[in-house]
Amino acid sequence: MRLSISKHWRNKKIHYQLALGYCKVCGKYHFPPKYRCPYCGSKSVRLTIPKGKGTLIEWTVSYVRLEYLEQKLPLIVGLVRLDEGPVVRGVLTDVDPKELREGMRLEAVLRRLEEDGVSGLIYYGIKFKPLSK
Amino acid sequence: MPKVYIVGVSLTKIDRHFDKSIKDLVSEVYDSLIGNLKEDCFDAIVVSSALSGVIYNQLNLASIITDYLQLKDLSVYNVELGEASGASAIHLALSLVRSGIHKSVLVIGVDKLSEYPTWKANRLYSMILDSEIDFHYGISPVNYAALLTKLYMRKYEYSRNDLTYWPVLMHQNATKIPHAQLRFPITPEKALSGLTMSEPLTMYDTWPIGDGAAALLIANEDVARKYSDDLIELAGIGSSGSDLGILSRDDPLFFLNTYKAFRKALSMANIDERNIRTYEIHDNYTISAILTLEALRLAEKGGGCRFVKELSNGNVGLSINLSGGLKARGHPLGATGVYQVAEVYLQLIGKFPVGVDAEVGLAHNMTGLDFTSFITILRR
Repeated sequence: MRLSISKHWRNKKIHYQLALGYCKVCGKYHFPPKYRCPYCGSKSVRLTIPKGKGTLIEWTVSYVRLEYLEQKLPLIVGLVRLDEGPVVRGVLTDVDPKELREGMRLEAVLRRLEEDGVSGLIYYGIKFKPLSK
Repeated sequence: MPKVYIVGVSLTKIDRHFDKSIKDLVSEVYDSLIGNLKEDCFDAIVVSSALSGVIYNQLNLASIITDYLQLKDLSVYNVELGEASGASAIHLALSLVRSGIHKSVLVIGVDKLSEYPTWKANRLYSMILDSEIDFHYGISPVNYAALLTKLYMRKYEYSRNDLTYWPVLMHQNATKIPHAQLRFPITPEKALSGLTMSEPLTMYDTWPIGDGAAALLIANEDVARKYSDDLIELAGIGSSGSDLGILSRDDPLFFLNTYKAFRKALSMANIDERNIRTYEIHDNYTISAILTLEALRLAEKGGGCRFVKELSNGNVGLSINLSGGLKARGHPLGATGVYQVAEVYLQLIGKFPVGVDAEVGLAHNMTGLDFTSFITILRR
């Protein structure tokens, strides 16, 4: 077993949906969720689920070979500004890199990431795809 | 406050040392540094390694090394902070001496990245990012560097060709450095045509996989004067960690932590930054060098890339990465910060392979892209 079952189970809130930190004092969102608001320092932060839509700022097509992730290459890593404000980094899917444009509308989707052998868990996570018309 | 000095340094050639273990590399630097001194010249050891646990199946490295070298009655410390482990270890050692807890501390940085094929080292190195956010998706630091590079090129209107000056210069510098890993020159065409890592970065915008060890002896004034005439003061240190990952910052193109660490170190050393004449900066990626030069105020924002071109043409009048940098000297992760300070030390005492006219020098070590950054200022 390569990946911890309890770690994955514990992280379902941030891996099965896109999650941001929201500060009840200054009203700003941040990513990834933190113990304290990075803008005003308040500890009155809570996990919140954004609408999951945003615009593409920049992207890179990656050919870096990482053990266990070879079959995912090339990987498109993008910077997305969510409609709620924060900039998140994430993997783009269901798109040809040639079709990517700055300002393109994207939405978060749940995708299968990898399987831990034939009998281990299947791991999921959030990626971004072009917004359906 | 009492002054703290570097008494001596030693380093191994960085290479794919398939025939040498961590113990072999460490005994090599130990012999060459401590060999001529009395063995009780230090009362503590700090070991720095980023990957020994995951790539070498070796936790508890400082204990293993202390036992292997048969160093008795020492206080033993171990540091891991990703790519910045080396500077972190040196700053810890300085603090221990300055506080009076120890009189003299041996710092050893070591890492062996070539134990497995590159794709395994790549995965393990990527663990410096947040395992729940980046690593879970296979996002690696080189992707961060690629995104910053594209943002930079777009914002300041640079072409891909403009980015080749740095790797070409680093390879040129390394040709004169016996301990460097990549001692061959490259052309701009070659820099562009290397394997694409994460576009627009090629392998020449990153660093080679290699092994190495470096050591420093750090001591208070009494001990230092007993053992060496080549004393260099560790005059200022500063470090800073992030409150927001760089990609989510309001200005991702400013190395804020490097800047904050720089101001702290200047203030502690109580010097004017114009006195710093030689630099070893953490160019894990070409864009890192550019943004570091801007954070150190050697270039204005957006001007780092032009500055590098001027540096290549010999128009700057400063020594920057005479070692060849991470790009060409190499980057054995946990040892790199120790190499950098050792190199600046050798430059200041006039024993570096290339002559340097400087009284004050600076080493900049960081992990990831300005995730946590360290500045160390040395003064003759």
